[in-house]
This record gives sequence, C-alpha cells and structure tokens, in this order.
Amino acid sequence: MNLRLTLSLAMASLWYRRRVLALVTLTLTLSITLLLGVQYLRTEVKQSFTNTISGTDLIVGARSGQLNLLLYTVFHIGDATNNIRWSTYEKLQEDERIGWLVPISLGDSYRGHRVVGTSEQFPEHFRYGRDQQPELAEGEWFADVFDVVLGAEVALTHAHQTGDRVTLSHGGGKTSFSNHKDTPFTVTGILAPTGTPVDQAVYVSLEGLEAIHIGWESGVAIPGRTVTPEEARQRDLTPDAITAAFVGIDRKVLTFQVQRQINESQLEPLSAILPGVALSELWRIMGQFEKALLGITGFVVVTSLIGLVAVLLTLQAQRRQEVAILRATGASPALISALHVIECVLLAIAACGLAILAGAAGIAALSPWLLDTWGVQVGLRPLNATEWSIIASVPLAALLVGLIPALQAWRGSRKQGLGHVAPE
Amino acid sequence: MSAKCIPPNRPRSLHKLGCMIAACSLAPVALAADNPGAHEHGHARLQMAVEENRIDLMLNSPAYNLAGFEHGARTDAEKSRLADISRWLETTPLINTAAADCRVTAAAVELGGEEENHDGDTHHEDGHHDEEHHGEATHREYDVSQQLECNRIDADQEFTSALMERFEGMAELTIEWVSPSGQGSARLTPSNRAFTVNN
Repeated sequence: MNLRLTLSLAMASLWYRRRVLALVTLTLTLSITLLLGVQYLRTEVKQSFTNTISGTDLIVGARSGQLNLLLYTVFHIGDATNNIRWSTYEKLQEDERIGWLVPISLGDSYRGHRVVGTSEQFPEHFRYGRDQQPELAEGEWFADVFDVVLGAEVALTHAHQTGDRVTLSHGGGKTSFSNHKDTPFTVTGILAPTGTPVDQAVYVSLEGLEAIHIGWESGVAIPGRTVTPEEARQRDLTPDAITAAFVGIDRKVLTFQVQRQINESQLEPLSAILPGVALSELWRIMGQFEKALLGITGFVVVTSLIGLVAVLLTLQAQRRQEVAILRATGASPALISALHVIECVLLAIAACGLAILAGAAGIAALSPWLLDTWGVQVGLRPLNATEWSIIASVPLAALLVGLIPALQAWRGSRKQGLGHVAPE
Repeated sequence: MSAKCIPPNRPRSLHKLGCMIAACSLAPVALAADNPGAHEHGHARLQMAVEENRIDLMLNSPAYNLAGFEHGARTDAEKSRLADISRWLETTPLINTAAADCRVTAAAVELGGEEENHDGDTHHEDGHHDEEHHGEATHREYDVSQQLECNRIDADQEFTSALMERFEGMAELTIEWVSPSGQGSARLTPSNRAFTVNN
C-alpha cells in the first residue's frame, strides 16, 4: 500500500473541498466560541460578583442578618434598621487586631442614587475585584466638607463634570421633596467605572452629611435653624452615629475571633459579617441562573456536533469517485475510514484553536464596552481546568461522531467493486 | 455590580428575598450575650481560618447531630458514646485534603448547655423545635476547636470533611473560610462532602 500517495490524495481532496470544509469549521468555531464564552462568562460573572468587595474582612453594623447588612452596605439595596454609635466606632478603632476601619453612613440620595458618607480611609482601603482600588477618572477625592465624588454611572447619567454644583436630597428614592438646597455640594472627582455598585453611588465626607442635617428634625428642615455652609464649617461636625463600618484585620486568621467578640459586644447589639462568606451565600441563592446557563451550554455542544455529522455525511455522498481512486491506489477500507476520522478530529482541533483566538479577541475588544455600558467586568485570563477540558472534549466528541461517516465509508468502500486488495 | 446580576427592575424583590432568606434559613451571625444562639438539628457550622500551613477550625453543632441525643448521658452506652465522640473530635481532623496531609496539633472539645431537668420530662429527637412545649429541656451544643498542621496547601485546595461520614445526624454543614487571599463559604451535604478554598 502506498501510504504517501494515499495521504497526498487525501490532502488534495481536502483542498478540493476547502470551501465546504471552511464553512463547517466556521460553524463549529462559532459553536465552540459560544460554548466557551458561556462557560467563561459564567466563571467571570461569579468571580466578579463574589469580588464586589474584596480586602474587607468584616462589615460591622447594627444587629441584623448577614445578607441584609451586606445588601444595604455593599449593594445599596434596602435600608438599615438601626445605626451604630460613633463611640462604638471609636472603641473598635482601639482594637489592636483591627488594622483599619472605614465608616459608612447612608440615608440620603442624589436623584435616586445613594449618598455614602465616609472618610478619606475609603479610597485607601476599599477594594473590589482582584484587589483593585477605585480610581478617579478625573479630579480628586473630597477634601472640603461640601465636596462630592460621583460614581461613573451617576456622572454619565446626569452628564456631570468636576466643578458642577449638586443638591442632595433627604432620604432615598428618585423624587424627594425635601432637598438640602441651602448646602449645595461641589463635584471634585468622578470615579472610573468599576462594574460594582460604587458606580451608582455618590461619596461625601461624614462631616458633609452632618453639616447638611444641622437644623433638621424628623426629616424636615426647621425654618431659621438651618445654617449656611460657612456657619456649618465652624461647628463640630463629628457624627453621633454611622450606619456601618468596613473593617480590615491585620492577621486574617483572627477574623473569626474578632467577629465573635463584636457579635457578643456589650457596647450595643452589633453584627459583624464576613462579606466574602455573605456574597457566596447570596450567589448560592442565585444558583438557578448559573444552572440555566450550564444547560444552554450543553445544548450548544450537542447541536453543533449533530451539525458536524450531518455535514460530513452529506459530503460523503459526493466522494464516491475519490474513494474509488483511493481504493485503486491500494488504500484499504480501514485506511479510508481512518482518513474520515482523522479529518473530523483535525477539523475539530482547528475549530478549537480558532475559537480560542476568536474568544480572546472578542473579550479583549468588548471588555471596555461591557464595563462602560453594562458595568460588567470581564477580563482576559488564562483558561482554567474546566474550560480546557471542555475544549479537549470537542475533538474527542468529533472522534466519536467521526466514526459514523467512517463506518459508512468503510462499508461503502468494500462494496466499491475494485476487488479486495491483499495487504503488502 | 447590581447592574450585572440584578436586573434594574428587581432590586426590591431581591431585597425581600434576601431578607426573607436571611430571616428564615440562615443561622443568624449574632451569638450575642443577650440573645440565645440559634440551634437547628441536622445543621452545623464550621469556621476555618487558613494561614500558611496552619488551619484553625471551630465547629459549632447541636449535640443531637453527633450523639443522637441532647440530654445528659444516663446509661453506660450513652456515656461511652459521648466519650467516643470526644475522642474522635480530639484526634480526627474535621477537614482534610484528599491525600490526608493534615494532622491535629491541638484540640479542645466542649459540650455546652445545661443538664436538663429530669422530672417527668421527655426528650425529643424529632429535630423540631418549639421552646414553649418543652421549656424544661435544654439544648446542648458541641464547641470544638482544632488546630491543624498540613504538609502542603495548594492555591486552590480541595478539602473534604469526615463529619458527614462519621455522624449520620449531620445533614448539612456550613463551612465559612478565611484565607490570606479571601473568604468564602460552602454548604456540605452527605452527597457533597468536598469544597475548595482559594488560599
């Protein structure tokens, strides 16, 4: 048997069918890209979600469930039932195991966006994603009592720039009838998109929040009691209470110990939660969504493989003459069917390679747009073991489905009527 | 982030869901001095702090999950059962790698809660709780702390817990872990005994 001649004929046959095969490869590439994309996004979205806040070891608030505390401090969803005293915050600062504390004070809004009162510790210690610091796209962090820093989405929605004057509203909600109009704030900075709830928030100093509430009682400004910004600056603006505090612990191994002590604190009823634990708990609740994605992924694979077999079987009908020539050169039915399997696997491998390239190019090209428009943070990273195994399963599945046309080819070539060729 | 996983028109319902679940199904994080701690038969909580090759563990479980009863040991069989459990908890790592790389270097087992009042009271083993109906019976809990030393812990280390295998009453084990690179939680059941820690 002339193996070299057979192979060169097979190559020539491939080249002859290049257009159809290119189309098959393209279809398969698209399917694999979709499959890989779904799996990749699933992992990334989960990663991005569980890293909505990172680097913070504990969140301390008034006594409540861990999801409630997480939702209102990190996602700005819902409201706090109670506040914690400033004296408690100061006591926590004295704890040697605690490296840093960031106060969080909620309750006001700016055109439907949450106003977060905090300290200069916030930009220094708050992290999201893979230890990323919220960065300013323009301007700088608040230095004055009446300075405000806007999240990316807030600035984009209301077309704000640094230097703009904004009036905060009392309480939450999109339309508030009680505005802090006597004490407007100046935009000093706009944050770069983070893909987290930070984009939707407005940041001011704790002193700023305190200042705009001078002369307010039961949520209403008492006429004659409110002050001008200049008068407010003269006052002691230390708050009486804050909503919560983000806590960083020097030695992570002590996290549970500190948590237990805060939960059993005699100062006032407190809850300390581990944000990472609460986030993964929350993700588990939304696990159905993840399962649905996995199901779709499975269907994509099955459909594309069925498509591959259909195309190969159709092509086979056109290859009778070619098989006759191959048989004439001395190729055995086994070799002819092997060629079918090899062709199928090579096509799958080529499609996999192309899919990886297309996927990487797609993610690289789309990730800035995804972050800007949808606030979804998807970055390029090396593929993980699951993704590699999905890719590896494609040529393997191609090998299995390739057996169908191969078997047919073997049967067909035996009936070709050129007689049995004795092995050399 | 909310734009990513929570559609804009759903925050309120999600919030409700979050609160509902927090209120109904999660063990409250607070173990405050003024509130009695949550006690749910079949469920236990294991806190795990990883630092280099050292792991600190803290298990909090109703005694029912381990012993099958919560009253004081009355018979010899019950006494020896409690002794067996204590010995097992002191010597067996509550979690381990597939290669069994970890060994216990220090352990403390405490069976908390008061002895129940024996006068005319019957103990309950139905896993159902209604304090009003048997106010005289008290719940007892195991507080187990262990320190493990492991030969090696990989970046994405998979662990399994022997607790489910050893104690049939343990239907669900919530793992909360902290490592230098992050935090997370996992929920183990008898059919799913493995979890991964990003170290």
